[in-house]
Amino acid sequence: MSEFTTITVDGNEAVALVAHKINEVIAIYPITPSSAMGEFSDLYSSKGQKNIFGTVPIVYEMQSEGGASGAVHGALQNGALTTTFTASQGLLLMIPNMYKIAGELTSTVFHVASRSLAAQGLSIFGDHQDVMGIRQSGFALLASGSVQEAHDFALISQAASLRSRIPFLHFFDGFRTSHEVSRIQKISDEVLSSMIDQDLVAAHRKRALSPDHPVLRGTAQNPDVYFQGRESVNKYYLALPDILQHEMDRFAALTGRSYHLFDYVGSHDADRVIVLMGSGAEAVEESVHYLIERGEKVGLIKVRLALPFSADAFIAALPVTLKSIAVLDRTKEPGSLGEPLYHDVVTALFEHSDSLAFSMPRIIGGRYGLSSKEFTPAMIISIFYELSKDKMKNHFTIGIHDDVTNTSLEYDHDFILENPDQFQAVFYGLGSDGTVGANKNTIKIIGTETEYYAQGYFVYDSKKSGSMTISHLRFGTKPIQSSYLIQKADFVGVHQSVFLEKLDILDIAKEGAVFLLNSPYPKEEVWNRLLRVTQERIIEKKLKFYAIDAYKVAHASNMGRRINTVMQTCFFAISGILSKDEAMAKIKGSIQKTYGSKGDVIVQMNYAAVDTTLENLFEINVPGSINSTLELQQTLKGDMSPFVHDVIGKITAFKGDEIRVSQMPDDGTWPTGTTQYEKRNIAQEVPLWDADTCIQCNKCVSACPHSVIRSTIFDSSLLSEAPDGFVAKMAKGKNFGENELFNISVAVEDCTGCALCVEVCPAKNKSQTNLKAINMVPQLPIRDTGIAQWEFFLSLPKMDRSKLDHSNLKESQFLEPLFEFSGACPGCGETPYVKLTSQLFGDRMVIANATGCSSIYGGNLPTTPWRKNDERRGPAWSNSLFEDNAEFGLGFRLAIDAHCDRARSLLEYLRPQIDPYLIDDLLNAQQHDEEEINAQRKRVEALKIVLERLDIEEAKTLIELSDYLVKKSVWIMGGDGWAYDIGYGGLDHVLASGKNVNILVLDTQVYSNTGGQQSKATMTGAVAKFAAGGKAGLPKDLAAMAIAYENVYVAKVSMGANDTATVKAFIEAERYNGPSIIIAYSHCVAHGYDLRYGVDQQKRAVDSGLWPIFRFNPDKIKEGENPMTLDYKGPKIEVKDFMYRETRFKMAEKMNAVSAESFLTTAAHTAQSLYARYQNLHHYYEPKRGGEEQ
Amino acid sequence: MNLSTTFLGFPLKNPLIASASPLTASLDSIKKLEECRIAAVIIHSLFEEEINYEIHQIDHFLQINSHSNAEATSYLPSEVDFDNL
Repeated sequence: MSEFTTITVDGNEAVALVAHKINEVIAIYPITPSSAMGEFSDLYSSKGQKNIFGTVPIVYEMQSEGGASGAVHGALQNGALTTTFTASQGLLLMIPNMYKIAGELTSTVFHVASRSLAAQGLSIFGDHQDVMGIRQSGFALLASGSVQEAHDFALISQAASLRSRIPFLHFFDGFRTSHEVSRIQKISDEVLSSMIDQDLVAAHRKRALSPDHPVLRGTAQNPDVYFQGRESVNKYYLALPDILQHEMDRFAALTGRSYHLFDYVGSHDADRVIVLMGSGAEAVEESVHYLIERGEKVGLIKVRLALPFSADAFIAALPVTLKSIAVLDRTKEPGSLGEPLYHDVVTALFEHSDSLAFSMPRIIGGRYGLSSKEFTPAMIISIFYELSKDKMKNHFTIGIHDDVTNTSLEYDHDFILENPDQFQAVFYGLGSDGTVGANKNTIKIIGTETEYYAQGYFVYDSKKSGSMTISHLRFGTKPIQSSYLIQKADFVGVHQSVFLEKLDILDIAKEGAVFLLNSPYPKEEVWNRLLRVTQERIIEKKLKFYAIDAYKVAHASNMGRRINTVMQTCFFAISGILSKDEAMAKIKGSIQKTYGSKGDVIVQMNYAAVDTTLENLFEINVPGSINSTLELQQTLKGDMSPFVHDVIGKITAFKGDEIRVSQMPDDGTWPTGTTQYEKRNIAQEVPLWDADTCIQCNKCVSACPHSVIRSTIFDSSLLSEAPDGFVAKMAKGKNFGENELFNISVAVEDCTGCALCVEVCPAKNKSQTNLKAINMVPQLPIRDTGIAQWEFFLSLPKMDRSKLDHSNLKESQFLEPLFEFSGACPGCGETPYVKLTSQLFGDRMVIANATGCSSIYGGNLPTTPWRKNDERRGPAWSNSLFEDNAEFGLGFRLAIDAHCDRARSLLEYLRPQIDPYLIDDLLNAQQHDEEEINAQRKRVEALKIVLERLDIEEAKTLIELSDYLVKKSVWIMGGDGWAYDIGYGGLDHVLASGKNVNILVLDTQVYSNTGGQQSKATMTGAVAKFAAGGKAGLPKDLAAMAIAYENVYVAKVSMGANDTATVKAFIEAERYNGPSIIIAYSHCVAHGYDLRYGVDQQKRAVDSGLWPIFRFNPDKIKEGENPMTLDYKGPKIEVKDFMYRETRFKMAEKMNAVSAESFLTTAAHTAQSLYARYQNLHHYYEPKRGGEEQ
Repeated sequence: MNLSTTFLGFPLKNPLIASASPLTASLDSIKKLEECRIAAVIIHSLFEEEINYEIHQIDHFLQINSHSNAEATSYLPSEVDFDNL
């Protein structure tokens, strides 16, 4: 047996470490939670790390999973050892190629971080629905249940695939395993080489297509032979189980880690057995040991090879004392008699009923753990209890409360399986404060440098701004099998004291646990500032209470708002896991390791933080009684429906697990306009309006990503009702009267504190030149007055939309946004465009939204930012998939047109009964602008009154359909990953359709939602994942491709560079009766700079020539005008002056100065050639005088 | 011919010095100058604060939004090697 090294990695890294070593080609596409496997592989290759064959694997990012599987198939057909990584919808997109790969008996392994499928809603979390969706493809299914197993099975599956010629799908639970950090034994290169049989690799290569020994593969077969061909592979599947066991045995001999097709764990005389696969098996094993110690006769079967299902091996693994079996599937097949593993077990036992060494057991099947639903010992014990009942519930669910079809088993919510050898710690942090990063570091220190086993798992909430992270860390002297969240903790770290205002966090603390709080108050005052419930918990549980002002320490150490090192040091200092001296030495060692390559100043900065932390960490003296009267705040505020209160309110309070099946919308339909109740108070500083300095330009309103800054003009008589501090100034502008007042108000509780508004403000305070007409001030002191002012603002009458010039930037911003307080990142560059669309067309919009950032901040539960206006109209929104969004939106158009056609024909049919003038007006109405649309709405209302009086079927139908006589505005929204890559085929088709749809591409030039992978929009020289050295190629010019159709309205816009042209583009696009596309420059956190300067960077992007802005309006061709309007004047600044202000470009220079120089040269050339391209177009379309043909 | 001289107390083999200019902006170019027997080069001023600021900025923006979202544990590839810091 070879020597082993211990590493502390997550499941994705554990798999990538192996897959990269034993493959030559890796074709991938990012999808959560599998993206990191591709990213790690790309990183290894970019550092020149070689596989066991001595070459650096080629890692190639494709345009979709469909594309990745095609590239994999092609590489396999040409003899390269090839792999891919995917999950969920991505795996579904690979199915057609998987049939081919299996049908051609091709050795490969697809590694899948298994994830839910989008059904009534999307979920990024883990279950086996995706994997069970490919059972029919011919791939073998091998399940891992832990990080170590994922590491090991990545190799075993490859070895078995080479020997059996059956392709493998190796899967492990998304997030629970893919993202769990765990201490494992690393497979050495010697073991890797021993397991991969070079003769089999050569045989694989020999089957390659080659003109030197040509064959043909992929024939079209006919009724005479296809069937026989399909059956020709049976022998390979029959042989596979033995081959896999053989490879498992070889692996065991090399490493000492022994696996079987089915591993039985439990008492030898067990009467009750649970059968399952994946990470849940770890928790069951832990529970089985617990029950055996208490005299129960129980066991479990861990299913490794799920397909082909070896009935012989399964039956042989069962104890002969068996009486009842529960088969657990982490998937759902609506309408099926049971889920796949249950079916296989039932079939295996019944087909072998004559030869069983025991009498036929009673079998039940159940579902658990969908979308990473917790699967705990309490639930497992409940299942074992069910198995001992005379009448067992079949087709049960566990972990939820199904009060509709009553499938769920009861379980003891208070039961917790104690693991006395484990130290369990939970940490509550903010996404941006570095808590998770620090904890990952802590696990690495303890897992790698001590004898302890370590496990880390991280939970994030659904917002991209101000999101809470919860880190669950376990350390112990025995291997940790608790594949569920910590239920009672020995250590509770609250890294943001605001969390205690809304959540009873200390409920999780064990008696005598250590509680660490980052508090902004001096140590004498910390206790008095706590809520009543927090004080109670501390006293009743006898917690040891420590506090530190981590922000003060971080600030003094030049760390800004990053408190990771400070809080990590505190943890080591007081948790007692290691001695203080040892711990401090190890933290410093880890700092050197982490930051060494980023410069010594960073290392020294962190060292200083470690040293000052200990001087500022205090134990708080806990008095014997409470003195606080502060109560927990509700997570939702305002006047809301019972559904919002009971369901959404529970989710926001982190109690979504308690929601019963009957409370859930059964078809995925949710109300809009619910972010307004959330009042998250996440900004430490918010904007305050200085009315005297303000020039009333409304630029701050337009730039605000979260719709928290709004302006209005109202009659001065209303001011008397205003609360204290509400300021208004005489309205500027010729359209407004002398009695009208202007006000800007801020939703201080909804602001994220990005400060974009301050940077965009053009007005300077003349007496204090560092101030503008809007300035950031601390939120807390103005919170209460701000709330009152905001409420008053909302109570003011809405401005008359018909009196505003919508194409004027300033006046467009008086329009009410129907998109507000989204969960987007602070300073988001996408949402101002989304908000603008809602302001202009919200009352008639229906939106198809591609999966990505915009679908997450637009539609991620618990709350939705899309809302209704006072007439109860507003955007209707849906997300289908990532790849099909353009087609999805085109479907909207086709249906709306069909309804409209039907309504028009019914109108004609009913002509004898209705005023013919009304009918003609309805049929012939022009609906270009809002005034015309409102006129049509009035006609429809008049029509409905007439129809109500007609007692015939056609009239009733027309009442239902008559709203379709009013223009509907179809919007198709998504990011560049969708528009340029995965959805481009569909987008192109929709552009060519001639249909009246509006496409908005929120172009961040990178896959933002999955963490910054390059897209075809990525600019030359930008560092992104899969372009780690900086992108060498040119970005695709999507606009030019769309213009080529000539009947498509095309605009490329940048709000920061030209907001007026942007507003005009939206209005022209919507008005154009055909396909329109707007490509909008969107700054993004993935660009790596303080987004308060986003507007300035947008301007620089345009001034450098790298983001040309223009509008191409085909309507103008018909009118004899030039359709091409250039909204910029060509490159004005050096590309460097745009690029090097962003980390994405700057880091390329810090990595390699020579290539960075060539990026600049290429980019400068691109800037010039783009300008020439669009100038030429303008020139080409310039109307010729004297009626000449163009 | 002996062209040696001194400059700021440094002995130079000849009086030819390349000023702070594009010629001295890269290591390759400086090496070429040396091959052509330049006696000295003056390079652009380097300010410690500027260098440190850039390093801090890169470190900050590689970390700041990391580990804050389930789908994106980072937004830029942070484990790359910085050979030109």
